[in-house]
Amino acid sequence: MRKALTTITAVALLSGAAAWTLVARADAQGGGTVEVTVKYNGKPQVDKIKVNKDTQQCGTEAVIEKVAVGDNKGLANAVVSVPGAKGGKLAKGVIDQKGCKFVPHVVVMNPGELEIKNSDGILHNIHTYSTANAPINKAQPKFKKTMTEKFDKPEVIKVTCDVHSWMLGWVAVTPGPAAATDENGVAKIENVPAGKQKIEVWHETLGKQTAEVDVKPGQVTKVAVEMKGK
Amino acid sequence: MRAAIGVLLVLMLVGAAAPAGAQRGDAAAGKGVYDARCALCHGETGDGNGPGAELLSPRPRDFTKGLYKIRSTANRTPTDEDIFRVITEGMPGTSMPAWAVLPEQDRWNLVAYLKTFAPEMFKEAPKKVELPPDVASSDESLARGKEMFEAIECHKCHGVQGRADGPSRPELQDEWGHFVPPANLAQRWTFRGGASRTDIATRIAVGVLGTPMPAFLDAVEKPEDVWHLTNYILSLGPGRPAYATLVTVARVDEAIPEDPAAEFWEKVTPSAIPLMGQVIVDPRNFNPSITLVSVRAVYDDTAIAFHLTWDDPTETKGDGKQTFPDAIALQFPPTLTTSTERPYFLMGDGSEPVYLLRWEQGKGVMAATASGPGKVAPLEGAEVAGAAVFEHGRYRLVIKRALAGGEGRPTFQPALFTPVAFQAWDGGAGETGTKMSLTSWYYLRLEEARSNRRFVIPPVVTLVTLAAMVVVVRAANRAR
Amino acid sequence: MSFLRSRFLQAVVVFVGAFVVLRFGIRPPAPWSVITLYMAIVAMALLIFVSSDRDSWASFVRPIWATLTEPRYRIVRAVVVVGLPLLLGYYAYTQAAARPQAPPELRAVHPAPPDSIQFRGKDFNISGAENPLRKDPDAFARHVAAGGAIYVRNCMFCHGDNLDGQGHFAHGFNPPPANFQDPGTIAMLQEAYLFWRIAKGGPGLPKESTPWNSVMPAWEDRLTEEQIWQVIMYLYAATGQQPRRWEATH
Repeated sequence: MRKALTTITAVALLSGAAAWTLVARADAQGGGTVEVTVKYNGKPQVDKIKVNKDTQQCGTEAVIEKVAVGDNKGLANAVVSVPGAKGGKLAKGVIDQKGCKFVPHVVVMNPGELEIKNSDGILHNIHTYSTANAPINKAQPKFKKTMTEKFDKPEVIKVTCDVHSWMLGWVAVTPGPAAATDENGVAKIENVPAGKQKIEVWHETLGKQTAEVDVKPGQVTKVAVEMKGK
Repeated sequence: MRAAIGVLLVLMLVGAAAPAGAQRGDAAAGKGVYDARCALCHGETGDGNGPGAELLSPRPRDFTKGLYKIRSTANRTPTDEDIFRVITEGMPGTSMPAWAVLPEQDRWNLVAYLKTFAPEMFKEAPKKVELPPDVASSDESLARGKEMFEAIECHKCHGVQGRADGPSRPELQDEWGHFVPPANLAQRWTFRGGASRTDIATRIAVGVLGTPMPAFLDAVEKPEDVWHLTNYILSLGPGRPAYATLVTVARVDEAIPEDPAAEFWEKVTPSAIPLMGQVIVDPRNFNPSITLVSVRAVYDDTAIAFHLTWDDPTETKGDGKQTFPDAIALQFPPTLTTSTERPYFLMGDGSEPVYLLRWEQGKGVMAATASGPGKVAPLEGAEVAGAAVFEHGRYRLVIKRALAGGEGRPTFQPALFTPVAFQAWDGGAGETGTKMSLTSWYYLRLEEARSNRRFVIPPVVTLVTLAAMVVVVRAANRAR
Repeated sequence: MSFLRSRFLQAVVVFVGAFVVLRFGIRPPAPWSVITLYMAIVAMALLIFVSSDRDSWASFVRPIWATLTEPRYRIVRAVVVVGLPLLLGYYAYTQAAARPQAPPELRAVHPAPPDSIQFRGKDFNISGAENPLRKDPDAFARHVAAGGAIYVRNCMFCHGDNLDGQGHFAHGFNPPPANFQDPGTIAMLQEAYLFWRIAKGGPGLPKESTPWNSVMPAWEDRLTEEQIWQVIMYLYAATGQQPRRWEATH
């Protein structure tokens, strides 16, 4: 009896694994990469405030980049996603609190765990504003170097620290493939299913915009999106 | 037989526990109570925008967000008992009164009705937080509590000595974007969720939802640190001030120091005086910043001195636009008589002015006269001495003057009930002019040298009664 | 149970019972002067009761006499002879060592209203005046709602959400804010009286009501005539009290 059970389990596991590899390969074959360049014609919006505490870690001036524009009018920190595609395989989300800033400013992750680091060695508190996921407000004192929180529902979540009110970060939880633009406004989304896809661009200050792209399997498809000012 | 009793007991316990699981209130019935009792502040739709809302700070809760500050749960859902308790006991330090006057069933109905404003927030069942076993206070516990207080940087908001004066204070906002001050840990009678050991430990463990106060249960080194922190916080101030009705001015023989930090003042018994918002004359002050002044007063052959202690989160000279100089004043009638008639408590009026001993940040101590709210004029002559010190969210001040007064200045006399009133301004909170906190008239009294009557009369009474008793017993026995 | 028939014990039980009722049974607690007065009356009544006939008096005196004379009560006697003087001595000490208290604020609570007042520069008759807003029963709910909004923005801070004089500023002021739930306040007064008190506030009080210490504002500076009538209607509606009517002579 026990033997029979073991066999059944083994077979089940094996076939499951086989199925998984098949799907994955099919994806890799069928999907392509989309390189999105997000541009913005307007001016950068940057606020600067004086810092009167923790200056060793935070510096004496906090820079709040509401709209960060890089070379060739590339818009940084925008989230580019493919809402029509399911089954994302993004790397685990990690956010650090370093120099009294959230690094990266925007984390893009699939539903699951987010690793929260505190490299500053001073008290921060992770305060999230969300509706689909349970909002959290947890202290992270100097001796708590990392903690892990779960975000199961797709949603863009604002993250703040009340101790340092200028600190602002975003966690974009998306079910499918997605990426954030770098300082030049470029985002590379991998594993996008072939065919016509809708691309969604989200920016904390400038809002949402969409574009269409025809994804070719195994190739890099380039597309440019221009964000309109709000 | 014993088994039967056991079964019976279990059945009774189960029976008693059963209703706890079920909804104890009726939301439809709760609506009637809500509309009559709560809607004027919290709004008919529960959005915290009733007609009274804009004058209050903190503002009335917006129930449509379903965020409850005070909860005993590790997740965001409060238990019904949590909401029931806030209704019953109110929220100290806010405008939310204790509604224990309502029948219990009405309060349970209210709980049920409040939940209907944000039903999706109650889909998740409340998860009671599990606190570690209580740790009684001891020197070691207090030391560990202080160590943790510093390690987890409570002082960032609450200040080094807990008086809500931390550097992050001005940046704090609640979920609705309104300024929310950190708790003054030295005034625990204003703790929103109560000041018992369990209350404080629970707030530290799970935080205060919708405010910057985060959950610390997973952020202390060991779970029991929550109790060490609780013990330390309990050591920062009194449970509840014993408010005075009379300020006694003690007679002293030593020299009276003008330094407010001098050890001399520690030995003088303080009187706690509650201050309230000035809501008579525009601009009114519905949410006064300074609500308590501790008064110590002494006199000798020639001089009288007042030592005042009060909490103010910021030492402010003021920019004249949003902030103003911090200030405080003692008010007296210009002449002291045995009559009970006094000038109008709010800085007198045109026909009967008042005399003020005043201190203002940047200007120091002075004598002044006032003939109505805000109509203050300094008096000529440097008759007043004194100084103020500010440290960790607290002012201490000495104002000293000769006992003898003169034209428009009271002469202080022993044993005379002397009317006195207090006024205070937290300039950092925008208080100036009639935007202040104040008291109506109190009395102060210069203590005369105590007679030794109390050591003479009681023995005499005892001896006389004893003699009388002996005589009665003797007479009774003789008669028999 | 023969001792229950003892007049002495009966007297003691009644005396102690009366004290307990007067001291703990009355809310808010009665002042000591009142309790002392009532206890003196109880003591006199008891003396009359126990001395009503010869047997009764004998029964009352017997235990006292026995304690004073009989050898078997020697210890009780000693305790009484020593204890009573010590008790009195202690009482004398508490009296002699008492520290002075702030003098009581004696004031007339509902002083007689003037016949007429000046309201924002015009003559306003108090005597016999009725609330004009009550003439239109259809507008009742609207006026009460408006009164509630005025109350919560102006009056609540002292008089309380529950109209019981327990607002969050209440504990700082003497005299304390009026408790409208108490049947001794607005239920005893005509609406016009309330109008006078609200319009003129503390400064409008006569001297026997210590106007200098009342923090009640003169609301005529802030509220219109209609608003004052509205808030009055709210006070009665929210507490379930009825205004007093003017006597028929008017």
